[in-house]
Amino acid sequence: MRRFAYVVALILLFSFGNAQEINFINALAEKKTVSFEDGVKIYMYTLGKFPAGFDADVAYLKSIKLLKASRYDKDKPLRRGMLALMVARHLKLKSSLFFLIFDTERYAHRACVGEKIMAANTSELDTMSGDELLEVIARVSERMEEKK
Amino acid sequence: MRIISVAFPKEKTMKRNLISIIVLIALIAFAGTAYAEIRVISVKGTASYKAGGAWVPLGAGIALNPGTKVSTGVRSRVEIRINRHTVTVEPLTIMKINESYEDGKYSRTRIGLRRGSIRTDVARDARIKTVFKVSTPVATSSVRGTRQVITSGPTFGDSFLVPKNSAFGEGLNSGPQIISGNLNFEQKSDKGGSENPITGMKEELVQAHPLIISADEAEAFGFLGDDFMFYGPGGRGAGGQSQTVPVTIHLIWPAQ
Repeated sequence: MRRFAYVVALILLFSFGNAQEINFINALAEKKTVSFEDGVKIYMYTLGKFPAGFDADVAYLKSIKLLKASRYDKDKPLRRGMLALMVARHLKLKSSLFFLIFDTERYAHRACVGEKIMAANTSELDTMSGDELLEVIARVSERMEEKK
Repeated sequence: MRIISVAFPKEKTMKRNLISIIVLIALIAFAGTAYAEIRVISVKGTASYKAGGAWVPLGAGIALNPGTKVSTGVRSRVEIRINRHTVTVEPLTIMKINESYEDGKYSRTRIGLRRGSIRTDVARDARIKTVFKVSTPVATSSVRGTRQVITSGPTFGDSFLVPKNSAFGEGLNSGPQIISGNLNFEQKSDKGGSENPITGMKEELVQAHPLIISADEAEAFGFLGDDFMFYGPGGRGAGGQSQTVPVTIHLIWPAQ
């Protein structure tokens, strides 16, 4: 009986986690402008981790050196450059020599364009819609699979 | 001659009838599931389908109805069998199975891709007229062959890659184009017409130069490609000397 209860609890937990991710993704897709917090949250899912709140997520991303600044504002609109910097550090992109030297949003964006993760007609200063963020994350996910 | 009559007790007869009914119901149910038109083959990661306004987790073996929306998570993939065709739903995709119909002569499937990417493997049977259409917000593909990869996104636009056989691609404001041999149909959401399918070939083209070139020429070639190479009129030189000769190269596309 106890074993049955554990199995049911496990299934419920899995279903809850599953629904949470899908609901978050579909709500994100509707947003005209996503925030830095949204970017951090979706990146946690990309890394195969469950988000545990903004501060904990940022601490985790800092620990694996995807984020390096001392302070982040969760409500700040996510700019393409901010995301590009996380992506370029995560995938260790080498297509921009300047990114390897300077490690800035500008050259991280160039590296992402070079690797066809972001479109050439975009800028590192652009804010992003939910659909645009998901488009980039889908390509990152694809690259992660290719690297395996 | 003796006639033997066997009489079952009433209880035994009822039991037999009950078992027969159960077996019949099981057979009908099994037949219903075995030949269901839309069925999930496999699920990797997080995926859900919309049933009655709520997202319900997808599992292998689940039967879906036409009109069902399927959504996948970040590191997820779902394989769905629709009639005899297979659709692979890639990560971060939301799609709807608009229509699925098949009888002995006709097979019709329509899928709406809202966002993300799907791969379709369309079974081909000369005896069955097959229509398999995938519509994105700005374009529609109609498969004539067997395989295609359809992607829809806001900045890269919508694209249909057809690695095998052929498909029709049609943008909102462009006529249908036949795409085949690993060519890509591209339609940006902010442009009227679709891109030329051979646009994607530019990455596959090669640059060539003669075997013997000077160091300066080699450097120029490195920077500028073959646009600035000088090819003079060729001919046989006196005394067997090497000379530049024109060479015609036929490129066959797609590469076999």
